[in-house]
Parts: sequence; C-alpha cells; structure tokens
Amino acid sequence: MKIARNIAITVVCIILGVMVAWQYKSINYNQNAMSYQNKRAEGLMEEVIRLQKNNADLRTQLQKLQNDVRLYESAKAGSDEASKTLLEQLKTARIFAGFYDVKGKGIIITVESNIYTVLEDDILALVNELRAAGAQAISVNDERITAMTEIRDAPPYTMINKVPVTAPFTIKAIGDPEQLENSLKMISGVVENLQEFLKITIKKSDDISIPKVREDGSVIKIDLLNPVSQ
Amino acid sequence: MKKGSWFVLFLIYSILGFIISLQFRSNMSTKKEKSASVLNTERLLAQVEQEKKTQTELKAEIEQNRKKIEEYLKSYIELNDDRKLKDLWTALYDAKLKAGFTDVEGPGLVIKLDDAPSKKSDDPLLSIIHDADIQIILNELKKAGAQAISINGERIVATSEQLCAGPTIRINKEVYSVPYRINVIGPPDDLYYSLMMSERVILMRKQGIRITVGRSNKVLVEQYKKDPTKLISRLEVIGL
Repeated sequence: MKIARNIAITVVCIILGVMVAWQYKSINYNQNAMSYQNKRAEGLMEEVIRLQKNNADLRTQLQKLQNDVRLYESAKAGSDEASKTLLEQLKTARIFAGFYDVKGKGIIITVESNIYTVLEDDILALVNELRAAGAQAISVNDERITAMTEIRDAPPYTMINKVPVTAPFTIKAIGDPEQLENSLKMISGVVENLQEFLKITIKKSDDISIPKVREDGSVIKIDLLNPVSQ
Repeated sequence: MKKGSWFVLFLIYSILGFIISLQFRSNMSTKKEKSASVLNTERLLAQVEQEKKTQTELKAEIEQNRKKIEEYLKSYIELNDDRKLKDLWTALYDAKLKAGFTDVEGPGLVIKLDDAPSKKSDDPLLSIIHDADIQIILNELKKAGAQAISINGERIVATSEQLCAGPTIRINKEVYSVPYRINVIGPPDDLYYSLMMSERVILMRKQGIRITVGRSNKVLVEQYKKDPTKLISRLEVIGL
C-alpha cells in the first residue's frame, strides 16, 4: 500500500514536471510568434507609406502632362508654346546632366588622410550617402560627379573624370543642409566609421557653387548609345 | 504519515490545476491576438498590392501622355518647317541622350548578382550583397568606360543612391531585392576585365555570391522614368 502510494506520487510528480517544462516552452513560442507578426506588419506599413508617397508624386507628374496634352489638342498651341515647352525640357535635361554651373544651400565635407590614406572606396561611400540624403549636385575637388563619373586610385593621385586630384578632398553637395548633415552624422553611419582612420570635417553653407562638367566628349560619352525608337 | 501524504497530494493537484488553467488561458489569448495580427498583416499585404497596381497604371499613363506630347511637337515642327524649332529639337535630342532620358541600346554586358546559396558561407553577413558591393561594381564599370547603366531597370543618373535596407537595396528611391540585374553599355572587353579583376568581385565570388556575366551587342538600358524637375529643384543655375 505504501509502495503503491509512493509510485503514484512519483508518477504524478513526473507528469507535473513535464507539464511545467512544456508550458514554459509553449508560452515562449507563442510570444515569439506574436512579435514576429508585429515586426512583419511594421515593415509592411512602411512599404505602404512609401508607395503612397510615390504614387502622389506620379499623380502630380501625370496632371502636368495631361494639361500640356490638352493645350496641344485644343490646337491653341502655336510656335511660341512649342518652343517654350522644348526650351524648358532642354534646360531640365542639361541641368540634370550636369552641364551648368549651379549654386544653392548645402554642405562642404573635407577629408584628409590620418592613420590611413583616403581611398576611392571612402569617397564612393561618402558620395553615395550624400545621394541617399537627397543631394542634387555633388563635386569632389571641383570635379562634378555625373552619372558616369569614375573615382580611381592612382597613387599619389586619385583620378576623377580622368583628372588627377589629391588629398585633402573637398566634397561639396547642394541639397537640404539639415538632412545632409543628419544623414552623414548618423550614429555608426558612414562618417563615424571613416573617422577612425581619416580626418573628416562637415560644414553647412548657404552659398555653395558647383562647377559644370566638361562637355568635350571626354567625360560623358554617347558614341555607343543607340536610341531605341519609341 | 497519512496526514502528511494527503497534504502533499493536495499541493500537487492544486499546482496541476493552476498550470492547466494558465496554459489554457495563454493559448486562448495568443490565438485571439495572433488571428488579429495575421488579419492586420493580410490587410497590409493587400494594400501594398493595391498601391503597386496603381503605380503601374500611373506609370503607363504618364508614358502615354509623354509620347502624345512628343508626337504633337514632332508633327508641328514638320508641318511648319520652323528652323528655330528644328534646331531646338536637335539640341533636346542630344541633351536627353546625355541626361539618361532615352532608352538606349548598344554593346556591353548583362550582369546578374545573387546572394550565396544558404549554408555555403559561415558568416551570413558575408553571403549577401551589400550596397558597397554594388557601388564598387558600378565604379569599376565607370572606370572601364561605361556609357549607360541600369540596375533592375532603374537608370543610374548622377544622384542615384544604392542603399542597403535589410535584404533589399534602394535605387532611385525604389526598393529591389535579389537577384540584381545590371545592364551596362560600353566597350565589352574593358568592362569584362575591369569587373573580373576587381578585388571586391574576386572576394565576393569567394564568399559564394553568384555572379554571372553575359556579353551582348544589344544591351538595353532603360531611360530615367521619374519626374526630373524634382531632382533639380534646389539648383540655381549660375549665369543663365
């Protein structure tokens, strides 16, 4: 009788132990699953907001075009309108390609060698960070950064647009000064990482001038580009 | 003895009862909350799909209107035989080609990049493609004389960023995930050797990242499709 009771208690205790362990795991699992779902929802929310902003931009772009189309359809558009439209498009395209000297608000970064020398990858990283922060025009030592501008280590020089330049590097960018500075100074951002090895200073300015790119066919080449008929 | 064991049994059974009810409640509550958050996720997914659909429609409509205006201008210039307008048209054609506002075709490479197959590399951070990898590859192509580049259909212009955001990369403010397809027009041999001899590319291949390169005489590089006026709004032209 005594033995039977002891066995019974032992069995119950074992069951109890297994249940406690199982419950612990189960609750943990449930909590993990929930936080995963929440994270996923957060990411999706951001995606929706980004797409909505994008679509709003597209709508204004479309509206502008539709107005132009209406103007042409009504046949009221004469030589003046046509040349106005063409001139506007021409100016936009040429500013966009980097064929004008431009000025505006922005920031000036200077980069000097410290423990290490400045390499092409360092300049690339800084330029890319400026682009991501909305910079509209960028130059390095007064060489305009265009779509096809290369940055090449060629010690003791760095070649930019096939022109040799040397440290200290002065990177100028036109854009929202606050946004540019915040993005660069972000904790564990590009500048903080590079500052371990290089000397970097950042200065905001309301009057930054950035020179145009040479237009002699040496930087922006188009001889291999065949327009696809639209 | 008898009294003591009664007490032990009482204790064990009360704990058992408590645990059963706790487990039951935990399961119930997560089931309820889980279904709510799953519902939420599904709703958001549907919304993303909807916005994407709208985006495609808007883009198509913009393209249509742009073509219409182009046609009007073209026929107007032909009809009126206006010298000044014809010169303007030619200048615009040239500027658009240089700015990246034209779909272009030419000799070059099509490069495909994909993350390393899982478990190939010990460090998961090394087995995926980062923004710096793309920047360095683009720079190598530019060194070798690239004339036009696009990534997954996004034309690379002067202000195009390549930014890592988790497993995706942002280009021209659009988000893309692997595989990445880089189309580049330029001297194919120079592009190929500049790419393959790049230390970074050699390292990436060692980590198991999949890079395939195809040569072609007819690589298509798409035009910049967004509103360019937004990207020059802060620029004041000097001396115009």
